[in-house]
Amino acid sequence: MKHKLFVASQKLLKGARRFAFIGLPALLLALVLVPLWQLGVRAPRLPQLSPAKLVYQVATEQRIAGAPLQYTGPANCAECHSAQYATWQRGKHATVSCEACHGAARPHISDGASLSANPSREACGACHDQLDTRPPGFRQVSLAQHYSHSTCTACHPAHDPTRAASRPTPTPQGATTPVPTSEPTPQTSSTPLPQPTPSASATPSAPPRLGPPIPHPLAGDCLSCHAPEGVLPLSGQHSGRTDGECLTCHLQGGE
Amino acid sequence: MNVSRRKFLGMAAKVMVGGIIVYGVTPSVLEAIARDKTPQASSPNDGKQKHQWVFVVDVSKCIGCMKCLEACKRENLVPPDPDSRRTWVEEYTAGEDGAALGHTANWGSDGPERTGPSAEHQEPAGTKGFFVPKLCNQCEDPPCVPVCPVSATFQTEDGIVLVDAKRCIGCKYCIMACPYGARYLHNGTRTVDKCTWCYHRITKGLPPACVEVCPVEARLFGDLNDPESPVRKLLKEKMTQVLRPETGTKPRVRYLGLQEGVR
Repeated sequence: MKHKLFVASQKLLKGARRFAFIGLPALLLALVLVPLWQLGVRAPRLPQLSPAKLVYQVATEQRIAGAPLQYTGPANCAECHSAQYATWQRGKHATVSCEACHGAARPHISDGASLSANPSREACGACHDQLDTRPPGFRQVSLAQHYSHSTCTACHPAHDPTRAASRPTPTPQGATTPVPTSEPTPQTSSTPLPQPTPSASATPSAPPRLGPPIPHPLAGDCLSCHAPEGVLPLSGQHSGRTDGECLTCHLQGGE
Repeated sequence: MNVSRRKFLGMAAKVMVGGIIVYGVTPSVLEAIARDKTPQASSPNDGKQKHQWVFVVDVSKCIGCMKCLEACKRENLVPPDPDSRRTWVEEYTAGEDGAALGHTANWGSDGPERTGPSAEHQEPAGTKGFFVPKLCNQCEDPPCVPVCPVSATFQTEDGIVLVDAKRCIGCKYCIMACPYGARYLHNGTRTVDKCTWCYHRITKGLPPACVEVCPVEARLFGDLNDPESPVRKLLKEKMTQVLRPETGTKPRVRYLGLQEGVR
């Protein structure tokens, strides 16, 4: 009995000694190190406590900052396309970056990839199609109604949209019928013009614009009334027009 | 047997203590090296950074053309699917009293083709609304950063929150933590991606791609440390709001003309 107890106490003592020499220092060390660890090591992961960064984060920053650019900005376009740039800067689209319509310029600059803008009505409609959510002051038309047979750029050159497509020296093609100065908005037109030639007073040098809507049903034989010797002759600017050309710039509208 | 066990325990204790010391000291050393590499290191809030970038969104100007989305996807190689987006535009429809009623989250994130908010909603004619462009707010106190278990997302000295795609394990904790829904899981890399304000552009002095292509200047970008910056002047002259100020994240995207009800 005694002998067994002696052995047991011996074992206990040995365990206690081992704890005192190994376990206790380890425990004390842990008690000191864990709070230090909390403060010194984990704190950098909580930026609101300390903004210090780790080495790999610096490398990541540099890697992300070194990513290649796709959009280069209008200044780069001006280097080769100075004429278009000048026109664009004068026009109403001067706040619209080249790459907004043409797309990212990087492939064009580095590989000569084509960068022509989408000429479709829908491309213009991305900004200008009538939408209730758009700011009221922003110029909008209903794509479905506004000269739906024509492309936008036939009348509104994209680089300077309020100037009509025809240049001061009109081509023989009828697509550029020069007309008056008021911007027509057929679907909201509050002033349908009663006379078919409101442009007579426009100076020949003034940049021509889109024509006003035609306030009567169309029969297709415009010149039977609007010939120089007709009931309501066309203005001098319109001399030489043929029946089919009128609808290029004038649509039925108004009343 | 007895001796070898003692030896083993002793060695184990030494290894443990050594490990704790190495693990405790090494990051501090690395940190010190990182600080040396970036001499402008300072707290993000003490106003001494090299840049004080700020992003301004003018809600009253946005026309919802989605050029920003298109440019962002192109510039940052964001996948084409609608759920992958670094920036997006929400459409709010206003009620008769002018209060915002509701919005179509993420409208237009599928690109410039208009799938039609008006068509979907069948709003009564004449209902007015507005667009709210959204992107990462680059919060001063970003809730997405401390939740990352692998420290893959962090804040740069200039306050931009970045994600290291090489370290990200795609656990999506940060997606849950962001009160603005600004993060998404890249379906190609299966890592989290987010707007960086085009970090690769702004560090070269260029505007973010979305600002570059915005046709109506609804998105503006600048550096408050630059005395010539128009944004600096604008913020002096006009009152701006931030999204969800109650979350205490201190967002850096300032909104002009934000109506009540926009979250």
